[in-house]
Amino acid sequence: MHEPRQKRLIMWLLAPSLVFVAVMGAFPVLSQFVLSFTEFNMKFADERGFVGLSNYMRLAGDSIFRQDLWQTFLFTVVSVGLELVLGLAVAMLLNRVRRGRTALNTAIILPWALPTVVAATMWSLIFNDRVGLVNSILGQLGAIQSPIVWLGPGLAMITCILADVWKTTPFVAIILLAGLKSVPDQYYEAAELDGAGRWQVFRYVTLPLLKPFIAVALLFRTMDAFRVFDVIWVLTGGASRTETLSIYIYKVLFRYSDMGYGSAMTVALFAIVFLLSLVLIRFMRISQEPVSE
Amino acid sequence: MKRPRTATGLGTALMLGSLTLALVTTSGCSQDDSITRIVFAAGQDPSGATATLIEEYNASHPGVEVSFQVMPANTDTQHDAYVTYLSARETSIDIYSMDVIWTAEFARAGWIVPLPEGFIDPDAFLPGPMESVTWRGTRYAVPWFTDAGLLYYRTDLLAEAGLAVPETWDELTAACEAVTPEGGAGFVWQGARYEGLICNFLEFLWGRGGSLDAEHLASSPEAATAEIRETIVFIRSLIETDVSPASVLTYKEEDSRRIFTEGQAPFLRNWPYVWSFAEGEGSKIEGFTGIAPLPHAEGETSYSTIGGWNIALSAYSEHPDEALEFIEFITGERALKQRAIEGGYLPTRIATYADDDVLAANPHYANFFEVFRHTKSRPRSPHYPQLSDVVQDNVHRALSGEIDPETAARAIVTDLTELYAR
Repeated sequence: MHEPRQKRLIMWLLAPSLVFVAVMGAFPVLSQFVLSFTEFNMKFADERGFVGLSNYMRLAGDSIFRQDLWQTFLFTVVSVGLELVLGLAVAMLLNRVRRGRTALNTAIILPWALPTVVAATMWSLIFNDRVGLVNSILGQLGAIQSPIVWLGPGLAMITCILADVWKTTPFVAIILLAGLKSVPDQYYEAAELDGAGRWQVFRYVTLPLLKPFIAVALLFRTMDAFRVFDVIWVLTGGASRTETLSIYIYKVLFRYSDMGYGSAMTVALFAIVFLLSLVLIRFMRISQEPVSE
Repeated sequence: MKRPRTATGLGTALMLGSLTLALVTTSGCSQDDSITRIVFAAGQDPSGATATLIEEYNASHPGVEVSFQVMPANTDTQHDAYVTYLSARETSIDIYSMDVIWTAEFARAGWIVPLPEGFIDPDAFLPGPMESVTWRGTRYAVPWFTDAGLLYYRTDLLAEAGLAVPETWDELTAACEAVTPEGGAGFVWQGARYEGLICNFLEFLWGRGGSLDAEHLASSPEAATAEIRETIVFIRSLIETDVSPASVLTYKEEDSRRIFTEGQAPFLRNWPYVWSFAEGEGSKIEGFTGIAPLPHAEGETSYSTIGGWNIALSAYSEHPDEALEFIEFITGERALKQRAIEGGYLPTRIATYADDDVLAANPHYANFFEVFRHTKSRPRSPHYPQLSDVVQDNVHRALSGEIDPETAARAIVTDLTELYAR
């Protein structure tokens, strides 16, 4: 291994990066935590001061926070669910394809590569009720009499979820594809020899071996989906029951300049996402049965 | 361990390089002390009229140099940038151009300075803009240019049907039934959940005799709640009876404007800027655009929501006297006239509307002036952003059918009363 002198050198070389990460990462988190116990509005300098738990009390009674929490939760569950199913389907497809694999891979990755804001702007045009592609096609097919308002009341959340699923399915597909490739061929051969049907192979060989990969994809996507901002901001601005926690926090911090309350909300969001991740990790560990022979 | 020679050389080079960089950047800050530099922050003026005016001012004031700091076009982005600068007590900007809705907020925060006594003659300016620069009886800014909601209509369609320009909502709905083109819409406006929704909503509310003023909510909350509820019910009825399309709840200015200038709707509520699109080249309705005050309920008066921008002096300016002199110039008759003729910016001085040159360049200003005499401000409060969100959220959700009008009205009255009291 490394001699002590080398170890010290390594520490010194790493130190700047560590300091950087500590400052850029830990400092904001800590300062938000501290701010959450204060009344601090950029505009009202004379009203600033320590207020203990009052921001958190206010949060507990905030009906907008509760509603947005529910909407965020709904968005997360539906979109991550869809992404997993579609991502798996895409991964299995990519796994079988021999010819044109590179081209197909590239095409599949494209949505993920596009900046979210750009993609969302495209979707807002496609779903526009008067000049959008979707209504135009549906109208020409005679499927609808009057334009459907995709980004209006009732349908807005579905449209946002669709736009998000389109963008992030490739991410899940790539992870699951790596998982599929890691399944040794012998397992499939053995299963076939035992007379297992397609579905049984999938259920008893593929799926269990994919579990760790599904877990990773699920964890990442859930954490991301819970903190979603740009897709919804561009499509609806949060209107028609699509407002999420991130949007509300943005408004409180930057529109109302209420740093104290905004920080309390950020800490709450951090706690929720953290807990969610712990639950997922726990769940994944418990459900990891050994692969049956 | 031997240190390689290249490492030493590199280290020295880096040090010298960064030292030089530091010296160069700091030296750029040295000022020529005999010239007073004033910085004026405002949104872009694509017509160039403002830049020309500033050049003129600099030429005629040898000891002063005014420079124009261009801010982002989006008003909310500008707002957030100013909040950042002013929270940090930025001294480099002396004069801020401000959206009419920011006065109370900035005044309360102590970021802008009250105007000296007698600095402007209030009677020389339109009443709406004057109201927007006043907070708790003190004037904090000078009105620069204005905007107000108008009813645009198709002169040809109304003439064909032999109808007069609608003055009441009943007349408008009746006219819509008669003249709406096949597959088109009747009356389009801005109903998306954003600042524009408040402007539209207030026009509906004021036209029925209601108001969101602090005094009104405090003295008669039940009456105020009823007025708000009835207004929401009325707007919903427009959507339910197809006078306005359901998609109006996703429209902002350009969405609704396009429908009108494409000839798809006979009536539009929008800002003065639409005129140049409707009557400009390539417009499908060129020659057939009419403007009028918005309709009101039977027995009430029409009011338009005031938009526009004012000019204020920063509390952290190091040259307040010179800055005030420039403010006087840029909001003077000559400057407003120039900006009206070259840039189409609606003047805030009453006299400018009677100026021959201005009217020659913009004959439709005569119609605008009538509307501008009946304008009102959105609620004035240092907590305006929250106030705006409360109204936007509740109105939009009630119009979407997510909550019922009574709940929305109560929430608005309760939350606004609480915000006014802070």
